Amino acid sequence: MVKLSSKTSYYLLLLTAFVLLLPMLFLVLWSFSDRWMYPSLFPEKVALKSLNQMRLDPSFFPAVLNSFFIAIATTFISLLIAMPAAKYFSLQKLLAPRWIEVMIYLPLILPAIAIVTSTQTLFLQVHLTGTFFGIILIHTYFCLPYAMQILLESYRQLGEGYQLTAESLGAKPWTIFWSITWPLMRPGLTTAASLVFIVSFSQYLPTFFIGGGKIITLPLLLLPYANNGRFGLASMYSVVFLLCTMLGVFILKKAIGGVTYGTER
Amino acid sequence: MNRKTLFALPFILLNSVIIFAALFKGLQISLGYYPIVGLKDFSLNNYQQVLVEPFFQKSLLYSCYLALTATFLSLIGGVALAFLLMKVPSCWLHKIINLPISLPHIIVALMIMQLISQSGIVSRIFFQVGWINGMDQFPLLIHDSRGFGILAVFLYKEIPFVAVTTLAILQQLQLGYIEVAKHLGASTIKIFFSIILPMIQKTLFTLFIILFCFTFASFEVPYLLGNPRNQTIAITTYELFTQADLTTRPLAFALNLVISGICLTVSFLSLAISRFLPGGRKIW
Repeated sequence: MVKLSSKTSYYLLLLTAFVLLLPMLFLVLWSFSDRWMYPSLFPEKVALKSLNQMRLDPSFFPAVLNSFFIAIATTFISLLIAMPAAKYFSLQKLLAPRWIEVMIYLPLILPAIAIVTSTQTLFLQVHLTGTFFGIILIHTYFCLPYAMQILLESYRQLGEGYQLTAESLGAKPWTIFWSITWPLMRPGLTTAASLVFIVSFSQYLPTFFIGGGKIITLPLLLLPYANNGRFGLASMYSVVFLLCTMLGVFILKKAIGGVTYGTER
Repeated sequence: MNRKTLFALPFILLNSVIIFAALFKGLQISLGYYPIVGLKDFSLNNYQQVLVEPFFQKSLLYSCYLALTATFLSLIGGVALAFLLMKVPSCWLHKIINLPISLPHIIVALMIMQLISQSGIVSRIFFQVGWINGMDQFPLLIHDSRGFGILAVFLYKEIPFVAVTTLAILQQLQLGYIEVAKHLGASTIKIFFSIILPMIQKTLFTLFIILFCFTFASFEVPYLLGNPRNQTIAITTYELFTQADLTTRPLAFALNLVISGICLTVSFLSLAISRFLPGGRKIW
């Protein structure tokens, strides 16, 4: 370790932040540029050309709606599956934490391309390709590791104490859930929901293969434009994409987070 | 079955159905049973072809090179950045460092293209300063054979990810040990290797596994920024799978299982190494 004065550390961090922000800035500039030839450093003409072009694309609005629908449904189902599972894994003493970690991370360890191509062959036989249900199912599979990791940590911090106390005082399971688990788990749930939403919104490969070209989402429109070097349009799609994820995360935070009461954790 | 086990049932069911059904299907087809194209005879030919042919070997090695380089650089850069973040308790800078984690790889790839391609911003700055006289004098950093652009995307995304994860662990550590070691006259290097590293190595190995497996089999980034002559393994599988005639599909599935095997082997080896290193058995 090199000894750094706190001033040097601050400037180094400032530099890192600058390097990280710079490409984002140019992404926004590109999305509003009409003409930006080599070698000028800034767009020669700023216009909403890309925005109009995007708006007139007939698959644009359906893609936004599909993306939102799939991501919200995936978030809901992922939490529904992950919450009880995380609770179980946090309390059981059968398996070492390391093995549970491996089990949870398995969808991240196994190559996505392998799982997606095999699943497509399988889904084709049971007529799940080209359906929203099929896409949501495969998205849930890829998002569960993120939800599980966060919720497991939340349940470990929560412990069993409150629940056992309530039980011995005669509380019913639903009462325990609504008056203890839910309020105390809210921060964890909000983080998990936001992350799952973002991950689902960004999926390309699973949507491409399981959707079979019938269901278009934002990443499916964005990739070809980026690949063809249509920077203006691709950047506009990226900006809209990011605004959509921000909106989604905001909605989820309001829906789950709501007003927090009880002790701050 | 214990009533409580039911809680984990949907999770286990979904994961095992997708993983086992997918692997079984893949195994069946790769071993030569694919009735749609009239294949019904069991053989190991597909595996032999995938493992022996130079084209596939090159693709596998290239993916390994990219994954190992990206992962090690991300881990080193990320841990360094974590220490930097620990020293500077500034809220807004931390938030900026957090940003790349939630950006999708496709958008980061686009940003890197706009930044370091031959007509990109860096090239334009070089031109304005007078270091180059045209865009063709700027080095090829996108679609290049060493995969510089691909590595840049992964580093942009993963260094902050490693930093934020490591920072969370560092902040939980009992810093008392470090104080004691300092009082007993240990050097900073000694403190890092005998106290801090054993305490964070488990997290670092978990990160290594996740990053290696992801970068090794990543599709979007090499698809956008890769060199056509140096294919990564995910692109090779994709092309074999999406051929119009289905006869190359058994090969794609053989490749699928080979890369799944590589990812699993690397994961279990890393876990084994982590267990035998100092700090592997204790729970901090």
